[in-house]
Amino acid sequence: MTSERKWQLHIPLKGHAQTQVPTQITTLEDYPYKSVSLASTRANLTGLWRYWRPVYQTKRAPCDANCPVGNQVVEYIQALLAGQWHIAASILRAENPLPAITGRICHRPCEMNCNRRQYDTRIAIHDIEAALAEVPIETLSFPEPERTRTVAVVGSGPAQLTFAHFLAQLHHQVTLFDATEALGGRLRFGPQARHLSSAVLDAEIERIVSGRVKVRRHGEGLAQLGNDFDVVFGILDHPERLSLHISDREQAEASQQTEPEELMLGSQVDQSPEIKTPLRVSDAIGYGKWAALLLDAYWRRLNTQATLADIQIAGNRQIVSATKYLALLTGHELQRSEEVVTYEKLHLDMLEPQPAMDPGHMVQAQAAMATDLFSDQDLKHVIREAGRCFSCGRCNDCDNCWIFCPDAVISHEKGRYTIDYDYCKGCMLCAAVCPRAVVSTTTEEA
Amino acid sequence: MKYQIMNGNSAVAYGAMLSRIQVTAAYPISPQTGIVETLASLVASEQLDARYIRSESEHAALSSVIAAAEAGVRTFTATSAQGLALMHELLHWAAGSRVPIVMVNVSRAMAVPQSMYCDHSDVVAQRDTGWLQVFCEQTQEVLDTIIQGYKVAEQVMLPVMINMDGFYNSYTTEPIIIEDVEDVDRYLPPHDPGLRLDTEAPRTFHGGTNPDLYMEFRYRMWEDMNQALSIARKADEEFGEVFGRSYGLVEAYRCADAELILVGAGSLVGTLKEVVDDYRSRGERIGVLKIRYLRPLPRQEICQALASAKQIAVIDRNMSTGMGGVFWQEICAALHGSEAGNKPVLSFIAGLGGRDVTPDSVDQIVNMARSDPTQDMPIWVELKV
Repeated sequence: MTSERKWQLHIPLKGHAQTQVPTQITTLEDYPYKSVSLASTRANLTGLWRYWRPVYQTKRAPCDANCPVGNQVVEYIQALLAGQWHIAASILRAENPLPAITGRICHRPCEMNCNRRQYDTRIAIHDIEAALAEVPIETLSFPEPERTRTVAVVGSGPAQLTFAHFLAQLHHQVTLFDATEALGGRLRFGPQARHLSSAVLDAEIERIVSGRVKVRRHGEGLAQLGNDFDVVFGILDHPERLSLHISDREQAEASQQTEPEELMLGSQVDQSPEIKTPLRVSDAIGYGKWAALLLDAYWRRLNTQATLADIQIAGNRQIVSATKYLALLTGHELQRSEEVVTYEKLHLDMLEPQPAMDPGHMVQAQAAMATDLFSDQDLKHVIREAGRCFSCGRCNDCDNCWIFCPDAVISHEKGRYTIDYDYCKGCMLCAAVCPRAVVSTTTEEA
Repeated sequence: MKYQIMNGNSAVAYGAMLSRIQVTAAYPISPQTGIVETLASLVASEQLDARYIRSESEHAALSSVIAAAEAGVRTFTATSAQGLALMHELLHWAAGSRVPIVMVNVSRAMAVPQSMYCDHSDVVAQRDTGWLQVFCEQTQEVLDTIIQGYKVAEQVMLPVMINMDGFYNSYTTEPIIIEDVEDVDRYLPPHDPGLRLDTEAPRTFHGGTNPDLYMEFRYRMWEDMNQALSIARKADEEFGEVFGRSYGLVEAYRCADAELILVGAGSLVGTLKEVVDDYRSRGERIGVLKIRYLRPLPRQEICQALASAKQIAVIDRNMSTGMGGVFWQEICAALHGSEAGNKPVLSFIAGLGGRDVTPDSVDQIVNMARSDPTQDMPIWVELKV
């Protein structure tokens, strides 16, 4: 073969370069010396063969799904791992105004349900939570309501504190009434109080009320609540029972403007079994949040049933998310599914055992964070424990899909994977190698 | 240029180094292991600027080398016997891909029975895979043929398989001429394949090819393989001009007036030459034809060399069960229909599984040939039963 013939194929035949026109080769000299396409295969949209369609979809981890407070555990753990301390703390506090408390005395359904528990050892979520609770943060910023309401909260247990916190955040005027000098209710005087340092409790309450909630102690003003407030929430009729009373004025106004069934909010709250026995701190916090968000929705003339469906977590009507409520109010669309990623949905071949952290190290880390003078070195144990998180249902940029895609149709830019559906044949290898079940399998519509 | 004392395996690695190979992948197998070891140490000591890919099998090794060659770099690999057989599928692939790989096969008998010793049954079994096949007699010739191999392969864009006899060459230590690499550079320019894997200009290599296209690709391969004869001839002559050593496509040793010509390939040719010299000193007209190129088969040279002979004895260190030695078949085919064609061509099978072919063995062959035996069946030399 002469070198001329060797070079011949360098210039693709005109008109054939980007089309699928059959090539007509008439002389042997036109033949390339090796079998090679004249142009790239870009013209061949192999994605048309696809039946299955892979879709990235953030889902619920079991820790989130089982948290009565509605914490976004995986979100803050992954932010922590990315070195974004303040974002992690913000994610935590967005849903939970008392993380220093729940980090210590919660019954920890998150850890009970942690997928890692079935694999080796659960993540020490409560320790991470208590550590993050020490990080100062900005809270969620909700849109202003049409009219600011006046709210009386009676008692200062976890439900009332949370209720007060969220309504204050939603721009309402909140006054907290308590029969004693020291706030905290059950957290200070109840059976769990012995597990809590009063300094931790004081600091957490201070964060909630400081500059936002008016406080009246020693039973002051309790007798004349009457119609001074649009809403009264707390221990009113029975010492073991939380109630919500809407003033006559509010009821009259509402009846003119909203659907009759939405007025049922008050009675619905009253009838909820949760409120009669919120003995667990997390249940109480979850209820306080639930009542505050739905009350605000009612005031904003939203359909409370529809709102509840929109902001509930993992299909549980008793757990709501403040982040989702904010998204609802601002019209921001959250790309997530409430499907729970249970243990059998994980692809364990892609995951590795890793020993849990020594609990003693966690205490040390919390101490360092409380001084507000911590460094990454102090916190390496927290980070290491956070690093054990499987990140069930939430992409953590592990690159598996990108690495394994046999058609190289997945691109990765700025922490986001994109599938080029023009060429994805739907082999679903990406879903098979995604350890955390983020890639969902859907079918193409005929 | 300098002399260095080394064995055949090291000489092969030095041949690859002088050719400035860029990628090598190989899997060790006796008697080829020394090649892999020497290449690895040349790369490790930075005497050879190449990527050394450790492979999990010969199949993987040749796959890596093919891919690297498609990307346009100069590549080398080596193997033996079962390793070559494991490469079989990819031997076709490499030739069809038209990549100029040079590979050294250190010939070893195919198992079973299990054997590590010299025998050409491994290499002749791969005759039809589309590779150029060159058989070498001496270790220096192997080293030189590697350099020549790239010169030829990169012009015809077909891979070259160079055969070196296991044990006789691979493990024999002797003085070897190592040319200066600058001189080799003058003989062997850098490789430019023209068409290569290029992410900037993506193309599909070797996709599905329908019946309306396939046959013409094979025809081009056929045509280019035929051209390889003149290219190889020229490359050998040029090599002679630069380095003072050339080998021809065949070597006709004292054939001009020979009545009986012994035909062979590989290290046993040395013995044949010794015996022929002995006969010649007694005035008997015997010659040797050494076949270097089995593919492409230099028919013109073969017919020319055998023109004077009244009788031809082909000694095969291999056996095609049911037909006889492969070189015997090739010589018969080459002579068929030619002017030199109408003469007895006898088939001798000798030295299988590494059994020595001694001067006595050759004497026996000559005597048997002179007794005008049947041409129908191969004659097994020094069979013990």
